Amino acid sequence: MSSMDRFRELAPLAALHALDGQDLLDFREHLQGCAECQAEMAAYEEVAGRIGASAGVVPPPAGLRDRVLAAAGAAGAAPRPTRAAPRWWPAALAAAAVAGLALGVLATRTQLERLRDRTVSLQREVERAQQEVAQLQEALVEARSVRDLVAHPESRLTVLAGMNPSPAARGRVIWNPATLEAVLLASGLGKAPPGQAYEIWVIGASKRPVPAGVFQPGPDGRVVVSLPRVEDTARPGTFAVSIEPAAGSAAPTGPIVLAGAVS
Amino acid sequence: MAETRAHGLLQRLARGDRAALGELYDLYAGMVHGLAVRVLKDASEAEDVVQEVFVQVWRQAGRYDPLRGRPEAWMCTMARTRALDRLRRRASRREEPSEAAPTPSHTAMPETALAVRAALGSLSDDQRKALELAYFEGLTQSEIARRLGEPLGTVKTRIRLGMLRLREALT
Repeated sequence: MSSMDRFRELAPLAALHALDGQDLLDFREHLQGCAECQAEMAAYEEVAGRIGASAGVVPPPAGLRDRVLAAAGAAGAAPRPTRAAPRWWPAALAAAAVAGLALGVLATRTQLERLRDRTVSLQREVERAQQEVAQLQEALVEARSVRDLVAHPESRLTVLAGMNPSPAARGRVIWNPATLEAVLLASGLGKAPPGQAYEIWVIGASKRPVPAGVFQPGPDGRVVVSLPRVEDTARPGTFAVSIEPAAGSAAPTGPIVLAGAVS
Repeated sequence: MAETRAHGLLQRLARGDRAALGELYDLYAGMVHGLAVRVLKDASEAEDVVQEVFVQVWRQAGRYDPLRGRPEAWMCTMARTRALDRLRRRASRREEPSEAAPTPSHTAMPETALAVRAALGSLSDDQRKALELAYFEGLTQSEIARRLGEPLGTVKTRIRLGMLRLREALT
């Protein structure tokens, strides 16, 4: 059986979240780069979703409707999708520069020189704007993947509390047992001691902490870190952060700074 | 029909129209509740799931993409995820269901749900059993193999063929 056949056969099991072990890890890794399997997966997820409707209708008790509407009222308005940065911006600046040149033909010599200077500075602005757009696009890709993770119907939230020596630290892990994606958002973290860094741990059924990335918080003590996909994110018990040598440890050795049990 | 109406309601929800949530509830609460009851077999926990799902629908209606699937599949996925979470939490505390759950009615089912039931009915008993253990009990392929005392490969094949059959019947 070719490996592609193997992955195509795993897609229906993956859509039910029935994969485990090596099958789960291999499929997740393959899915990243395979449009065909992504399409298969989406089709089977839709089939899986509809199995739920076969359970039959059970009318909920009379008072529940009011409680649901009240709870939605308390939850506030639905967040709106964000817009992408406008791509036309550098083009508009370039057009402005060209317009400046065209005007120059009609102008006197000194005016021409002034216009030329202006064109050069406009070109620099265009380059700066293009760099800025590239950086924004990079940030957007990151923000979008976090946003998609937050919006995914199966994503879960686990709150991490600050432990001694960082009682002021706070953290949240948003994780998806289906895609094994996870993001840590933390604040109130001090600068790690020289030569050391913060390391994230996922503790699942095996009870053995699995390393899930090393990071340094920003100067404001905040950080957003995407965790690598690890199998234990399918059924985590605890997320934790400890202080470790900057290169990371295979098992926690330093003090635990943040920890939260999956409720 | 219900589907077209649900799309319209989800669009209104995305614009922040609260009244649409009540209408969507009237359309789908019985289905969401039925699924939660089937997974949890506990009346009070199933009600909590219904409430959580509709609050989530209210928050995320702006992200619902009609091209990616039917509204009932979207809501069932949310309900299943939350119900299985509770089931696992209960298992880790070794608790039993606390309140007897009401029995589902299959006569009040919308047409699309009847189609799914018919498609499930067309599978072999072995295929359906394996599929239902995965869907309603949240078991993985190895857990199902252990539960049934069958080889892993056999279980994987049954689930795969069952899903393939459902896909053909439903699309």
